[in-house]
Amino acid sequence: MAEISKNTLLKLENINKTYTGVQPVHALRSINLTICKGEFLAIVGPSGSGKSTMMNVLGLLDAPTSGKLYYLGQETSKWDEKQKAEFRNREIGFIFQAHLLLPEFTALENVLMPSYISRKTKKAQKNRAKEILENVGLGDKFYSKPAQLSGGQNQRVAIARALMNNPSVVFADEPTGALDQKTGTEIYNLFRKINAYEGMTFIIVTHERDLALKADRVIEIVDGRIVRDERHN
Amino acid sequence: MKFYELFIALRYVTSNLKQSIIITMAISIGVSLIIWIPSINLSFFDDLIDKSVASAPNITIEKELDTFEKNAPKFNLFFGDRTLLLKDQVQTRKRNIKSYKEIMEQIKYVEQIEAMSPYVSEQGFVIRGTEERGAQIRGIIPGREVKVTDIENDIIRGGIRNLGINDIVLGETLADKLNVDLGDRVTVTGPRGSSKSLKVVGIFSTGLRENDEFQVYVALKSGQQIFNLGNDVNGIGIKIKDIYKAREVAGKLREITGLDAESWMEENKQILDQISRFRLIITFINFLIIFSAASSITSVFIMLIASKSKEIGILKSMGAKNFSVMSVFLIQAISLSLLAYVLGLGFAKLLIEWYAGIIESAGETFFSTEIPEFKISMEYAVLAFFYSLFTSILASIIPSYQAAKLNPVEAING
Repeated sequence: MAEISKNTLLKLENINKTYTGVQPVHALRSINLTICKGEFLAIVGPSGSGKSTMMNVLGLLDAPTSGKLYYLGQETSKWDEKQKAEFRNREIGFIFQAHLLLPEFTALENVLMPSYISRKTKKAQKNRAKEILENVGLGDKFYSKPAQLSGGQNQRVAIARALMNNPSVVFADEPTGALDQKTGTEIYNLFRKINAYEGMTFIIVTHERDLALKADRVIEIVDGRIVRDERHN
Repeated sequence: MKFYELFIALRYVTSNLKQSIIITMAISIGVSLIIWIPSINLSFFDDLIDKSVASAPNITIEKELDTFEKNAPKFNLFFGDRTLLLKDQVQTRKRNIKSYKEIMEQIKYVEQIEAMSPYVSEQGFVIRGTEERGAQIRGIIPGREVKVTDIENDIIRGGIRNLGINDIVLGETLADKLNVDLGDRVTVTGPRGSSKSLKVVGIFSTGLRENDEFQVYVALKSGQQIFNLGNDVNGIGIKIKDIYKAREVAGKLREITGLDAESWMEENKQILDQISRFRLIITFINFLIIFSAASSITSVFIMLIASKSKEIGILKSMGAKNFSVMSVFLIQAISLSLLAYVLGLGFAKLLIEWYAGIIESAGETFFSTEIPEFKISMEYAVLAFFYSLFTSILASIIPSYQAAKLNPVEAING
C-alpha cells in the first residue's frame, strides 16, 4: 500500500473508468492524484472530458473500472454498497447544478435530511441545521418549501444540506451553472467562507474558467486524462 | 430521526394527493366488495341456518327407513300380488319406534345431550270450513319440545306449553290462509283417514316460510290417534350443548341405539353445500378483484417512482441505503392500504345498509318471511384486511425494488 500522509484526504492510484457498450468509452485514464484535507480545488475541462465521471468516482457514487481509491487512508474498492452509503452520509456532501431538493419538504427538513439518514434525532441537529441556514442567509426561510424559494435560495439550501453532517469533503458539480453572475459570485464567496471557517475540502467541478481561477488549485481534464494540475496560492 | 423512511413516506402520501387518492380508492373499492358481497349472502345463509337449527332438533333419532323395495322379494314370496297395497303400510310401520321411553333412558347420559323430545310427524290436512290445507303435523310433549326447539320463542299469540289433547298450534301464514285465530276450531285429518277436531291455542312465526305455512303442533297423544300409531313415535328430537358437535354425537347415538340418528348438518346439507359453493365462487371473485386492483396500483406506483427518480438519486447520494429507499415506497403503499381498509369497511357498511333497505322494502325473501339481520361478515372483514395489505405490497414491491436499485448517478442525471 502506498504511503499516505495524515493530511491526505483522497488518493487515486492509476484510476480508470471505462463505460462498456458498442463503442467503449474511456472516461478516465490512469488518473493519479492526491488531495489534502482543507483544499479548495476546481476540476475543469470541456464537456465530455470526464470531469463529472471523476466527481462520481471520487464521491463513491460510481466505482472505477480499475485502480485504487483511498479515503482517509482506507482503500474503498472492497466496500459494499452499504459501507459506501454510510461513508457518503458521514464524510461527503454533494451540491448539484440543479439543486435537487425534495420538493415536499421545507428548507429546514431538506437540510436535516442527511442527519435523518444517519438516524440522529437530537435537538442539536435541528439547531445546527438552523445555524447553517442562517449562515447561508436563509434565517427567515426555515419553513419555506423549494417552490417558494428562488433558484439562488434553493442552491443555498442545497449547500446547507451538504454541510449538515459536517463532512470531510464537499463536491459541487457546476454549482453556479444555473444562477446569474451576481448570485453565482455570492455562492462562490460562501464556499470560500465555509472552507476558511469549517476547514472542509471543496472540490468544484466547473467549466467556468473565471470560477476555476479563483480556486487554490486547478486540475484540468481532457479526454479522461489530467493535463494540468496547478496551485495558485 | 429513528425512522426517517416513515417520515418521508407519510410526507409523500400527503403531498402527492392525486396518486394517494387513486391508490386508496382502488384498494378501498376492492375491500368493500370483498366484504359486502359475502356479508349479504352469508347473512341470508346464517339466518336460514339459525332459523332451521332453532326450529328443529339438533339431532333426530328415527328408525331407519326399511324400504319396501329392499324387502320386496321377501314380501312377494308371502303376499304375491297384494304387495302393492301393503307397500305404504310396510314403510310406515317400519319407521315407528315402539320402545322410545327405553331408548331415551338408554341415551340420556350421553355427553352433550341437553334435552330430548319424542314426536310423531306425518303429513295430513288441516280443514276449516271449505278451506283445506296440507300440513306437516307434529305430535309433541310440549314440556319436552320447548326444551329441544325454539318454538316457544316463536309463539306470537297464545301458547304451546299447555297444549292439550284437543288443542293445536299453527303457523301464522297457515292461520291466515285458513282464516282462524285463537279459540277457533279446525279439523285435522291423517293420511289414513282418522281425523280430530282441535281448538287453536297458539300461533307461531319462525320466519321460515316452510314452517309458518305448513307446520302444525298437536299433543303427542292426538298425533298418535290421528296417525293410528298406538303408543309408538316416529322419532326423538335431541338438543345438544355444542351444535357443531352434532355429527359426532349423532354417530355415538347410532352406535348405542342401532337406530338412525341425523344431525342438523345432514338435515341442512343442501344449504351447507350451497354455502361451500358460494365460498368457492367468492374466492375466485376476490382473486379477480385483487388482481385488477393490484395492476392499477402497480402502474400508479411505477409513475410515482419514475417522477421521484431524481429525489431517489439525491437520497442515495446522501447515504440512504437500498433497503431504506425501498421501505419509503413500501411504507407509503402499506399506509395507504390501511387507510383504504378503514374506508372500504365504511363503504361495505353503507352498501350493506343500502341493500338491507331494498330487501326491507320488498318485505320478504324467497326462504324467509322475515328480513334477516344484515351484518358485516367478520371472517371476510379480516380477510379483506389481509387482502388490502397483500395487494399494496404485491403492487409496490417490484417498483420499490427497482427504485432501490437505481444508480444514483443515472437517477440524478435523469
